[in-house]
Amino acid sequence: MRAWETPAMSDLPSDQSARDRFANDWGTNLAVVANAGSGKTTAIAQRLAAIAMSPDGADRLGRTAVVTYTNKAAGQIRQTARRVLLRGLSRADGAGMGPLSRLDQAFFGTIHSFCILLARRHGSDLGIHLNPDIVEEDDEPWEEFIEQDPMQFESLGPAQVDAFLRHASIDDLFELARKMDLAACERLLGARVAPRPPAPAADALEAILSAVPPRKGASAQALERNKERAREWVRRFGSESGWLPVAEPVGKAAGIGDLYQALFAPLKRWLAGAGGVLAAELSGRYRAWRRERGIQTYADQVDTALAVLRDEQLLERIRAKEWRIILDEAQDTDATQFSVLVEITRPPGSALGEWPGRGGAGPRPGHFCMVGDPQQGIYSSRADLRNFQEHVRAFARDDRCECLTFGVTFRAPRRVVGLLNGSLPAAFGAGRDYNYGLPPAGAERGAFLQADYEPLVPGPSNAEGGAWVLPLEPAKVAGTQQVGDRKVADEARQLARRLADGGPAAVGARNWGEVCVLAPRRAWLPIIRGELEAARIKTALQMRRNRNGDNPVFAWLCGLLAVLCDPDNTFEWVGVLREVFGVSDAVIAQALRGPVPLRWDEPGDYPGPIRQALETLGPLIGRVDSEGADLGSFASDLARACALGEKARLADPDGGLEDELARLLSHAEELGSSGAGPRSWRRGLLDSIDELRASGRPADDAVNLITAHSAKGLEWPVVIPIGVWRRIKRRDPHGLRLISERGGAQRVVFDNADMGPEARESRDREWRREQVRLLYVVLTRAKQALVVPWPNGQVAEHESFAEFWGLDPAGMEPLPASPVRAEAPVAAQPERAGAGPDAAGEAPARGAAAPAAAFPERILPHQLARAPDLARSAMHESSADEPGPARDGADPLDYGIWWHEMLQFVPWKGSDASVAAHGASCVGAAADRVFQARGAEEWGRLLGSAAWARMRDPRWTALSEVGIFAPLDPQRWIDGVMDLVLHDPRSGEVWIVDWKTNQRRAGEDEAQLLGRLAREYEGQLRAYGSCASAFFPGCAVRLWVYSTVAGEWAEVSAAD
Amino acid sequence: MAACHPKLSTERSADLLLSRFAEGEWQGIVRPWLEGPRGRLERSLVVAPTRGQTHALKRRCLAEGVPLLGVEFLTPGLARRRRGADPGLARSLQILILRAAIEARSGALGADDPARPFWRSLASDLEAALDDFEELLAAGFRAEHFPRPELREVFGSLGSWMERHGYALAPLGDEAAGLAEPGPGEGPVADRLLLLAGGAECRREFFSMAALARRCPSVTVVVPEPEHRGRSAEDESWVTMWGALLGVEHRVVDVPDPVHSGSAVADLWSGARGPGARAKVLVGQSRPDEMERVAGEVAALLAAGSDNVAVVLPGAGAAHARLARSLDSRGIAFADLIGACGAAPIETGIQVAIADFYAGGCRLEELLALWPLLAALNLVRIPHGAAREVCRALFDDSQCHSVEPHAAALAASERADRREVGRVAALLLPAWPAALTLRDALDRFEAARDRFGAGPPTGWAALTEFARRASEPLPAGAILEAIRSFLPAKAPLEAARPGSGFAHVTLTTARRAVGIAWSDVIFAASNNGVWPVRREASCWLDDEARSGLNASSRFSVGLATAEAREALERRMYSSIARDTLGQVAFSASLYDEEDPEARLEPNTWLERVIWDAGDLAPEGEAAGGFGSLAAGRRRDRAQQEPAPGALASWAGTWRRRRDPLAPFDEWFLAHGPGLRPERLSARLIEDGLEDPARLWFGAVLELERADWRPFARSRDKLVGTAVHRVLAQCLRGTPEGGAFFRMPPRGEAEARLEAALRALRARWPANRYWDSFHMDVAGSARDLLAQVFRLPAAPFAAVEAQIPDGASVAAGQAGSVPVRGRMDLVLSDRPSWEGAEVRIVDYKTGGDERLSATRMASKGASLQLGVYLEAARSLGASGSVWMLKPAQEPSGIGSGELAGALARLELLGRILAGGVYGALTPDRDEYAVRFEWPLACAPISNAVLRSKFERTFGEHAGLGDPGDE
Ligand code: SF4
Repeated sequence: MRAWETPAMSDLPSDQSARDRFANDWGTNLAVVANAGSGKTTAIAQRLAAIAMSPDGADRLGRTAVVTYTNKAAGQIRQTARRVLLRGLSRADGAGMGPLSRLDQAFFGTIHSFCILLARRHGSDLGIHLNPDIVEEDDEPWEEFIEQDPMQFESLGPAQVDAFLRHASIDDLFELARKMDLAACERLLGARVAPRPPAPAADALEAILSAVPPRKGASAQALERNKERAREWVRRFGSESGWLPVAEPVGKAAGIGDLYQALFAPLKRWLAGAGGVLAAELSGRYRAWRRERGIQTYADQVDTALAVLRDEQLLERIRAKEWRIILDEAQDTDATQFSVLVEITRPPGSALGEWPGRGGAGPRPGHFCMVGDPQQGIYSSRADLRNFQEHVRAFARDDRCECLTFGVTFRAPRRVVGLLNGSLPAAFGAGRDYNYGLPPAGAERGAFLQADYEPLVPGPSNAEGGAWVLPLEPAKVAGTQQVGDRKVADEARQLARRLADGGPAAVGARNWGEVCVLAPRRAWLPIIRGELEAARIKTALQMRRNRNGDNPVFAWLCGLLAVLCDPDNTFEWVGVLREVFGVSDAVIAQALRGPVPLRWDEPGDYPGPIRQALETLGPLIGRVDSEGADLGSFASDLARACALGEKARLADPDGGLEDELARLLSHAEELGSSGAGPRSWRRGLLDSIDELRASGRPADDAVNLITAHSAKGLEWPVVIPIGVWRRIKRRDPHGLRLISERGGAQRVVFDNADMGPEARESRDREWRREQVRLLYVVLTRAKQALVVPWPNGQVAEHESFAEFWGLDPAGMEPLPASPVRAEAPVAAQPERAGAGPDAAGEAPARGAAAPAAAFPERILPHQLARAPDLARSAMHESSADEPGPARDGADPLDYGIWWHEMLQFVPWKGSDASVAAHGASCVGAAADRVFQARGAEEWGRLLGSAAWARMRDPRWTALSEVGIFAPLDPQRWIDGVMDLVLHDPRSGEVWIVDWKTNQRRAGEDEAQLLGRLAREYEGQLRAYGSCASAFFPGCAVRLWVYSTVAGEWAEVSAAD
Repeated sequence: MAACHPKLSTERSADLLLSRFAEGEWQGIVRPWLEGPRGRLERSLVVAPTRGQTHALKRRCLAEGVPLLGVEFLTPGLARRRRGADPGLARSLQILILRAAIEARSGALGADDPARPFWRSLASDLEAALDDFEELLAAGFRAEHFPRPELREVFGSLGSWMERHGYALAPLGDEAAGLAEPGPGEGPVADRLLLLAGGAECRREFFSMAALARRCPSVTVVVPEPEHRGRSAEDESWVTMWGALLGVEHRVVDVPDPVHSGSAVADLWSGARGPGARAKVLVGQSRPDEMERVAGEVAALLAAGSDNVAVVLPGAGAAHARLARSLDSRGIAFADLIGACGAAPIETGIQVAIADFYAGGCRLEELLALWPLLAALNLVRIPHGAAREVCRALFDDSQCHSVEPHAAALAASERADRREVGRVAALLLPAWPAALTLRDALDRFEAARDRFGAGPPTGWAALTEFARRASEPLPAGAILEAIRSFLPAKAPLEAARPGSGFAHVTLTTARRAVGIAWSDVIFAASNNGVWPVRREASCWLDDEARSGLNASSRFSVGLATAEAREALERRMYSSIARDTLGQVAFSASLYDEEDPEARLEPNTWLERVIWDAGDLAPEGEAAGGFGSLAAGRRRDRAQQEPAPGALASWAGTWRRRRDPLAPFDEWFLAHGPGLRPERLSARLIEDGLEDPARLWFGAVLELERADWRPFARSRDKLVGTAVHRVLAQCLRGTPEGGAFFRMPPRGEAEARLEAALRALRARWPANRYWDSFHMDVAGSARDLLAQVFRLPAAPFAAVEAQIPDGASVAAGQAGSVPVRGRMDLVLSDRPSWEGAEVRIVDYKTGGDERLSATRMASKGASLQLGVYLEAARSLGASGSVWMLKPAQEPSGIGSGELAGALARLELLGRILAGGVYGALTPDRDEYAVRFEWPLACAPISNAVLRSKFERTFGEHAGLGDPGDE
């Protein structure tokens, strides 16, 4: 450990040696189990900072990948590392800033982005798409695939496929095929399936037919029908060939469900087996199809990286890069992801897949370290905790590896630590059946599958805090409907009253923003919010998964754009009128009834409120397709016209909707900056209407409301978990699917009945284990106090947090009635006025404190002409490098530009012959142009003209296309290009010539044409003349307009 | 260095100057050079790296009163044009050639050939490979320097293709021109040249610049002084290169360094730490807030006399647009070098949609995407919604997205809306073959375009010219990609936005701001993205290969590695700060609108600035110091002042609609008396009592929603439709009176069913998907037919019979309500309704429960069927209604049970009589089918709706039991 990192001895946490080891031992592989609040981000940051400070830090970090689950988390680690390093550098005198730049050499990102990096660097021989489209939801690709797939199967014989399709529909395969991962796919493809489905067991049929109804009446009738159905089914199975789906019994009488299950179990097994193979085949084709099109799901990214590693040469090449992996949130990492990270760090030559568990060598020392907390593994649907534990155990066995524990929490107050250490070991412990897997045959107990509870150790400066129960009146709720929700509401109401009466101090907070109310179920949050707000307590509801289209502002804009882009859509007009403009439904119904579409362009036909709306939107409809329109202005005009900002604020005084409006308007600005118009904006909104995004954010004066899942990784001074007594429900999945069985083996099941009681039990246990971990997450969020509301007399419901916890509310200290003083307040942040000029540093001294003088105006000369000079404005440099479409030299040039360009390159110093040759070649180059003949003629006319003879006088220095940028008067500068300037220094003359290719007007003769041109362009020419004279002091300036049509020039007088 | 750049001829005057600070460069070099030729008529060229620098030079002339005659300011790209260099072939067309080449090569390999995947990967990253190729060429290398043989070969073939067809590879021309003296016929491009674009930033332009230098009799080259900017080795090589080329020794211009500079701030980033590195920091709560602060800071700077402020932004985008708007609204003039653009004309949009149509394989979706554009130009006769309906029906019927199979039927249809869709489809069809010549493709595309009256965009001629030369068949997809690249995605802004001239304030980007002596600089949106961006080299020419090539190069221009590029970018930012004469400021925002939870971090430079000022947050606390710099609060809470009248009433409506305690009223799907729908369909009665919003939109407003999602297969729906169809076919007979006919005997019906099933199967492709579908349809249909014949025999039947006019149901307060609907099958003892004994049959293939009078009464389950029977009763018939489901016993309700079963019609009566409908829309749930409201309607939770419903109709007014959850 470096001196600059050492805090005073007394402040050291008790696990400091583990932390030092982690920061400074880079030669050993380390597996860290880090308790909640133990500061693992900082620990990783310190390790990185220490590496950066080492002499070979740059090299080491260049090969270091810090991998975690979200980009945000990766960014936080990077940021914290930089801060730790900055602090260190500031203490270490004389150190340069070099180490900071070294930090930038390391890879920080998600495992998926790391996989993409591997694939991009090494996948080019494998046909890997190097710029894939990443899809989160693959509905559309799947649909497309289904339509394009040949829908023939080779993994099973035709008779087997026929048999499957006789009893199940092909659609039953789809969900399974679509979601199947590569490993399962490969495994299932090799599964053996009996040539034909087994016949229903005769004894099972017998049992059904001999079942006795419990009583007469409807259930007896149902049983009769079930018997008949079973008999008929079995008959058809044997003697017919048509469609024969697995039959479902009617009702439940006489245990018919189990009897039917027994009857169909063999068939379902077979169907599940065959379905698994067929789904695997389909899944393989879908994977290939995606690959062909460069579409990748998140899982594909990892599979793609794994495909690279399967190539021995590439694997060795990657291993030779000596990657050093730091894996964060390792408990959420699944087996495939682990294997990517592990394989690249194993010694050269190691065979793939041999570690852990198959005797191969593990990662090279110092090349792999991981940090995780199995107690917080709450995503078992995506990553099996066992996998993490297996890696930890493998590390423990390996003598080049070491397991460390960060037991000290810097967050949980001592009282809470005491409570949790007293109660949670039981929940996590051996006394609970669900913490074990199902016992293998003959054994008493299965494997212990729960994370080990690691006692929390309070850090040196943790608060004493409180762990209180808040006793409530028992809910006075009766009846059968939605009792649970009403009880939660009742609980929330009493809590709200208590909070409203006592203010934040009632629970020991300094402001509402320090309080967080947590609920295990999302559906309770709006209920709780309603109660708190009824008690006039502001809330900040933070939802991670809100559908875009459900956000009012998003909805308004979708509706508005729908009618602006397709004003014939009367259905959407109704939505806009009633929501955005608040028109009453009665008025809308009166005005719109019947099949006639809304006549949006006749607002006068409608009653006041509708008319106003139409008048507001009418002009915007006209702007939808305007060329060159700026979407940002369109969007802000739309928002202003409809007062969306004001409405957003009125609908949500907390500002959440205004945030959304700001986001969407910014998005429009962003789109507009690449040329998109309202239609693209609309399309983008609609495409994302079903996307889920986080919404809501904390504020000082609002109580935070959040689900237990979303709370992971966050902390608040005061945490109030609500409804801990209430059962947490879950939804059973259905249909053909893969389940994990005893011992982790996977099997396809046909339906829930097919799962069998054991598998169901095993899944139940797994679910319970996860609920315990979720509970751990909930209980470890508080920095000052944990307050558990509890209605007196309430019994913990089955499968509630309280049951898992084994909480006895009577054993907890009640929340004191008098205000709780917030202890050890964090030093108040100095309030800074960031906007003031003295925020940091002083403005440098300026010569003049007076405002800068007005800037001269720049005049483009064609602005001074009376007629447009199209050729010139097209050629002006200000338009020359505008971003434009793909264009190259072959752009069609109109005649004026052609003429100017021809004259621009006339070799003025050359012989007449070379001039003639130049002209001829230009005329020749215009061969494909409609104006070639005209060009030839007018070029000839010029050569024969009197004007030309004077221009060619050898006394001249001639220059064409002469830029001029000079003051016309003190406030105006001219910025233009003169077509031709002739200078004779000896006689002191300067002539300025302007080429004009304008056509003759009807009835105009040569003189009139010249006179007109002279008049039209005299302003421009005079400006040139006046500016140019300053460059040639003492010279006389003459101005000429040459008409290519007339073949003559006219002089313009230099003065007005 | 491997080889010599041939020196410039000695008749020319040449100068190689090293500059330290931008201010010194201006005063000591540029300004004197510009003022040089007074009284002489000469052409002078100034070439600077980007138009940012040319703009700044002109600005400075304007500000300091330096008039110019015959001076042109050029960027390297314009300078190439000025020299008359061959523009080369458009990049998108090079890609087209490459795609064709790759497809040919991989097509020649067997499906399992191990060489094949490589081509696929290359095709997926072709842009990057072409970039690498261009870089190779610009550094004097050739295709053969690619490390991989395949790339050598395919890019070599691109080069020779271009040569064969009369196109030049522009960098080769530049190289030749840069290495050799111009030919005798070539006159000078200008009399004098001031080259400010000779450094590593313009690496790719080196030969082009050298060529220009060779074509000007007087050349002055200015490059940054290496030691000064911490740029060392690499920059020295540029000095050496120019020194060798010009044949002169370099010299440092002798001007004093500016009194103030941002060096200390720059040093903070590049490594050193010195005193006085104080920069100003502006932190906003959000990007828009930050931009307001920036605008305020600009105003303050101007007020304090600052006269050349640069606001450096990451590029075009929301922040830039916001700032421009804000400055404009404050009346602050500014020059905008980032610029804004507007939407492309609708004609281009139409052409893009046409290209999409062919690229997507002529699908219904793309046809529909074109529709609103055509509608906007009045080129179609039916609205988008109607066209969508036609297309949806086509898809439902065929389960396939392709337009082509329907074309003939549409054209021949009796329905005008179908004919209209057919007409538009015909204007686009046929689909393109997989490969065709470009000329053929353009003919097809242009013909379609002309039919919609759209003209070619600017630049199209290049494509036509290319088509004239490239006569081989090319992959259609690649051609469409090339066509798309000629359709501009944007257009110049229609309304002149401020910012086109010169001003005291300039909005710019770092690349355009570097090398200019600003009076003050604000690095805005500094924490939007990472500085410097680390861009990895592609795998086609990775850094190892680059370094290897550089070591053996003929020239010292060389290829930049990722590290070199990163360093260059870092130096670019540093030197902007260093050249600033006054204040350097950074602005950043705390939150990103896209993600309200994600707090942003300062970028690495700003972080050091904050740290240097002693504001860094304590360890472990996420960016506290940075956060505390943000003034103001996260959001300003709504002031409690009352909203103005109209808004207040809007807010009242908004709240009342969401108030669980407020009953439904005319603001919530209710109307006064007199608007009662004339006739209701049986289905709508059932659905409408479940969620009265359906009744409101369907029966009161008579509006249907047009979805926008792509069409997707729904097996259940398709099976149901098919089963109903074949059953109707097999039971239909010759009419006996009205809708009734004599019931066919069972054998005949079964034979007809089999025939109908065979015909149905023949409609679909022979594959397992349709096998399975058909198995299901056939099984269900046979089962249902058998069930029909198990019902007590009846001599007469009607299939798909409409409820006749005059039928009605009694609905409580509303009295008798006329109904309509279509019954699947009616069995009857006589061929008319009056006095008949009927069995009304409904086939169900979905998940409905058994028909039961109790459930119908309590939940309204299958109420539709009850309505059928009641309607029959109103016509004088009696009997029963039956639900037939495959593999289940028929379930039915007789006339006797009907009165109880229809209890819920009482609620319908109250709704109709009172004109108050309200809604009971369930919360969104991935399993529930839910009425889709218009888009603008944000959902109101079902709990609120239920409560309102109870307030309106009483607690037990027919709400089913929703269960606890
Ligand atoms: S690169 Fe320059 S110095 Fe080096 S060898 Fe060539 S000309 Fe001579």
